[in-house]
Amino acid sequence: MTGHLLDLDQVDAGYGALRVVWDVSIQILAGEWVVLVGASGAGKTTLVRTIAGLIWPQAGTVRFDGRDISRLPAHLRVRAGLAMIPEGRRLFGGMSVGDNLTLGGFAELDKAERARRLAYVYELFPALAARRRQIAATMSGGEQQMCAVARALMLSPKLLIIDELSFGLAPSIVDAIIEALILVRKSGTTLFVIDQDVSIGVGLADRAYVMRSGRLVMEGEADRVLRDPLLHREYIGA
Amino acid sequence: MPKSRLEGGAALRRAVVVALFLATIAGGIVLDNYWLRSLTEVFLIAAIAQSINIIAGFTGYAAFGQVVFFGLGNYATAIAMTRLDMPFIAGALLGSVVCAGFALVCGWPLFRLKGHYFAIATLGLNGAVQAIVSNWASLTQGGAGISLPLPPGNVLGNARLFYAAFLALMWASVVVVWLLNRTRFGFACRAIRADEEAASAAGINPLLYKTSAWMVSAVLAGWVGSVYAYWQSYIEPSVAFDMDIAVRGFVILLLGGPGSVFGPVIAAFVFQLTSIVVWSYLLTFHLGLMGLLIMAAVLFLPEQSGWTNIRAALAARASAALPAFARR
Repeated sequence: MTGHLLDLDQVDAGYGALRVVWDVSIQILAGEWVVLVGASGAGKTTLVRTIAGLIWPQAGTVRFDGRDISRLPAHLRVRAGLAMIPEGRRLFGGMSVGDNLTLGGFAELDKAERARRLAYVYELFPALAARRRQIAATMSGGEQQMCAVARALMLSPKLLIIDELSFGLAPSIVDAIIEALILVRKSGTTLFVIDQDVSIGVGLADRAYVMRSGRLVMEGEADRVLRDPLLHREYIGA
Repeated sequence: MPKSRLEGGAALRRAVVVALFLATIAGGIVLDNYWLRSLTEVFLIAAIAQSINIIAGFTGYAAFGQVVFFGLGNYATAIAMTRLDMPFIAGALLGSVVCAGFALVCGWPLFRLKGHYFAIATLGLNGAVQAIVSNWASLTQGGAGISLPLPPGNVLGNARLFYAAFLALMWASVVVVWLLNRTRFGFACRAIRADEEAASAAGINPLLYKTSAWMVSAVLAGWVGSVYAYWQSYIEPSVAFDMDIAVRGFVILLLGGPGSVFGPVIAAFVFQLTSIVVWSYLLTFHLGLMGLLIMAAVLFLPEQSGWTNIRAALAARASAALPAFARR
């Protein structure tokens, strides 16, 4: 248990009487880049919502940074350093890019620190700096995803979870975001990327998990798992 | 909103606000009893609209039963002045405590509800409190109502006194909303209105900010109720908890723009003065005509007011959909 930044132990999760995620155990070390892939409906988003605290596990425990957070409200997990970019990005659509980023840093009370982080994310995503006054919802999907990543980085998180990083985005945009994530990871942030696209972490991620019908079905070194013909044939489908 | 578009409008708006401020003060000196009373009602409903603005406009929770705090302010003040022989100010402060406490206690369960469910629940809250006040005769004298001590002074003097009191409340409500618009607290409220889940993903505690916003708006509505009780010197449950006050407050908020700082005040003037004019010339049909005006306003006016946020979002959705569509 020691040394794991995120430690899911036999987690079951779902909504009311409906159980979506069964017996999932995932351990992520500080500094790792881990991907979780699975087809639509595999339970990935439900698992992410459980980690973020938007729903509580029906069984099992979620530990973060050595502490049991299974029943901790979402906003307190954020303050503990666990940032999540939800599926569909969920920007504050009617607000400007700048306001979205400022809100991302809401939990940080030190103004100078907020300004430093703002400068950092603008450096990471120069496209956003040029659009800081633009209403977030009027940007393209790719720019919105950049804005969502930048907003989460305003928290200066220990762990950044991205649900459906590439969904609906042009490959060139995904590449640009991945470039930024490489820098983010170099700065010491642990990455947990969830996607339907199995190519998302090839050559970059350390380890991969595969989910199907609410259960983990494969795990191991990323390049080996993500290139495994079994994965493509059995779990993701053509 | 892009800044360049704002700058011309901001100067004009500042001029309108200053002119309105001076005119309302001058009005208290030169106007006759009838117009003093008419404008006092404008200030009252403007302050109510601002109270609703804090919880519905900024935070996104449509508290339809907001009049419950107006009623609690009425009764707390009346009971304090008649049973406890307290001066008016002490009664109004007691009203603030009651309203803030009630919002705190009710906020915890009610803010688990969203959208229409929350709105209906606040409606039920008002009905429940009205029923309690009507039946707890040993404390509230039930349907017989409570007569308050008359304020000292002659008729015109009192008309000016309450004109000034409601004027002060209206401007106080503007200041509260103006502060809300500029502070961290208001920023959190607007984030909750925009997307509560995303707000908590940014480290904002939604329940804390929603409840605090409701307490502030409750105290504001409570003060309006306190002054109203002293002004009328007689209150009864059906008047203190009259849903018509909440409905008018909401209509004015919609006209003025939810989330806007001065819009509701200007809308209160337009709405109430139109109502007076229509009422004095069309005695038999004024309700029908006011209804038509409200519908027309809701249909055609939103474009100029605080709805710009929503419009921008809708326009954005249309344009954001384009590249995705083009790729397929």
